[in-house]
This record gives sequence, C-alpha cells and structure tokens, in this order.
Amino acid sequence: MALPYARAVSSMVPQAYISANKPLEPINEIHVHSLTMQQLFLPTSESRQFTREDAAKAFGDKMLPADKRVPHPELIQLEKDILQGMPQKDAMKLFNEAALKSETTLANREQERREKEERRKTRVDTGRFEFRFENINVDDAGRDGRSRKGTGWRYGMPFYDRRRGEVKIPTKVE
Amino acid sequence: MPPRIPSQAIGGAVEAASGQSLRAASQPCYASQHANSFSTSPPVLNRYKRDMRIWMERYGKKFKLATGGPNYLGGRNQPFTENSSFKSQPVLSEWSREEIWKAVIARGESIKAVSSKYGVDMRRVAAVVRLKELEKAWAAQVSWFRGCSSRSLPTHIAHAIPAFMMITFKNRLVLKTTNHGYKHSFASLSDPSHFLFSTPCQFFSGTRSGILADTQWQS
Repeated sequence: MALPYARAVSSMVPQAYISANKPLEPINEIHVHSLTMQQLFLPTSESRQFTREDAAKAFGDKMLPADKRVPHPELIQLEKDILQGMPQKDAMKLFNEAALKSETTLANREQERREKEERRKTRVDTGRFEFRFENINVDDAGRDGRSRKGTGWRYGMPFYDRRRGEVKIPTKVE
Repeated sequence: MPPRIPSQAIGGAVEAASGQSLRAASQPCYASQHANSFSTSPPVLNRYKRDMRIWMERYGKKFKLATGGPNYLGGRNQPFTENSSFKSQPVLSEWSREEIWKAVIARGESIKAVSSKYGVDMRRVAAVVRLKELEKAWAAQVSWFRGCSSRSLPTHIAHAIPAFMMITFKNRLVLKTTNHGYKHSFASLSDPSHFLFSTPCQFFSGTRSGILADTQWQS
C-alpha cells in the first residue's frame, strides 16, 4: 500500500543514481568542534613539523586530530598505503578489513553498553505492567546534591515528572 | 470535489476573456455549493479569480497530469517560483537504495566500505538499509495482499471510493438543478387549474417538454 505511493511521490522529484565512479556527496566531512573556533597564538619550535596532532592538542587536551575525527579514517590509511607503493587491490582489501573491524568494534561496544544497562535493571512482569527496578546510589547526586545523575526530588533541581506530555498513568488497561 | 466556482459564471468569464466556450461542459449547481443559495444573481467573479482561471486554461494544463518526472512550476529544479534559492535536491532512487541494501545485507559488505564505494554518506547508507529492512518486513507481512497487484492498488481505491459514496447516498434523493430553475418567473395561472410539478417546468423551459421534477430524482 505504501510502496505505490512512495513510487508515485518519488517519480515527482529529481532522482539520484549511485555509481562507483561518481560520488553522490562528500562523505568525509567533520563537524566544526566548538573548541576549534577559538583563535590561538601558539609558539612552536621551527625545528619540527607542526602536524594536525599538535593542532588538536593545542585546542584541547582531549581533542582528536582531524584525521581521526573524520567518518572514514580508514580512507586516509588507504591513500597512504597506495602512495607507499602497495598494489591497489591489496590496499583495498586492507581497507575493507579495517572498515569491517571498526564497525564490529562499534557494534560490540554498543551491545555491551546495552547489556550492562540491562544488568543493572530487574524486570518484573506482572502481565499488566512491567516494573523495572534499578539500583540507585544516594551519592549520585554529587557533593552539592545537584548533579544531573541524581535520582528523585532534589532541592533546586527540575524534576520532569510534571512536564507537559509526561504520561504517568497507565495508558491502556489489559 | 466539484469546482467551488459555479461553472456557468466561469464559462461566461473565460468565454469573454479568451473567446473559448466552456458552456457546453457547464453543470450549474448553485444551491448545494453556496451559502447564499437564495441569491438568484450569478456570483461575481473577481479579477484575480478570472486571471487564475485563464492561467489554468493556458499555462496550467501541463501541470494537471503527472509527467513521470519532476514537473515544477519554476522549471527544472525549482518548485517555488518566488524563492529562486530553493533548489529541489535529488533523492536516492529506488534502484540505488536496492543496490545499497544488496551490498550491505546480501553481500555482507561493511557500511563504511559501501559508503566510500558509492560516495554516499555513512548515515544515509545506514538509514537506507534500516528502512529497506522495514519495507521488506512489511511487504512480507502483507504478502497475502499480493492478489491485487501493488502498482494498481491506489487505482483500486480510487475506483472504490465512488462506490462507497454511492452506498452512502443511495437512499438520498438528489435533484440536479438546471439553468431554468434559477430564474424568477411571474406566471399568471388560472385559479381553477392545478399547480403541479410539471407546471413550473413548462414555464421555465418555455416548452411543453420540460422534464418533470419527479423524473429528475436520482436514486
């Protein structure tokens, strides 16, 4: 049902076709980090090259260099490999492996995070409701009691249970 | 939906403006469409409405039906004529989306590799794969519906809607008004004669063959 309409609508707008020869859009762009918006005057030694790593460090201790912040850092390695004389086929193979590996790592990390969160919770399903209990720590509120991680009512902190659209009553009866 | 502007008035205006006659196709039907249905004078068509009508007749024709491609008012990529800085950006075609899905799911390539191969943003690749999966899941769910070819489904619905309407209006009597029905007529009748449905018909049409209101009912 939705497909014919999607087709009809898409026939009314310009279409783009992907091709291995012509990129559709720029893919390796980075967001401008607010730390990099400042103007810096940094004395450096002339005897050594000033690289992107140095620039990142100058902007902030935790800043990553642009080469690592791009969505496809593997492409840089690919170009380096080809420049060093590696056959394109081998370089591409390495690139594909690296891409797959980085994606798997990311997916695993996400999976772990979810599992960890799940472990903190105890789910009790009563049929009508599913109660989710989790351990909380009083010290989560921090030294001044105003940390965002704290639980429940705290003086001077907004508690969003009365925010517009916040549903607290059961929305269906089973 | 029938035109809100009474077509008789339009016919006259356009006829006057462009020399074309629309009167043949006109189906005057004031009573059901106008709040001031008691007024007998035809509604005045102002200049803007007339200009719009003329534009629709002369230039608007090519926008009436789908052309199978973009058919924008302002030309190739410009849907809004007044906003020249707004350009309609191309969207990924169905074929391209299918290719991306095949590469990622069927051939098991990584999203990054597919993204760099075709020069499509990684987030776009991920979104395409996600939505394609959803689409295929839905398609599998409604596979029982395949008896009806999916391409013609909206057509089926378009045909079905008037049928539903017929059912709704089946028991309602609708009288189509004619031109003559809107004239003021002062006719002198002899007292003893009976005033029947057929009597005003004869006066309005000026002939004896006026169609009886009774026979105009549509059931």
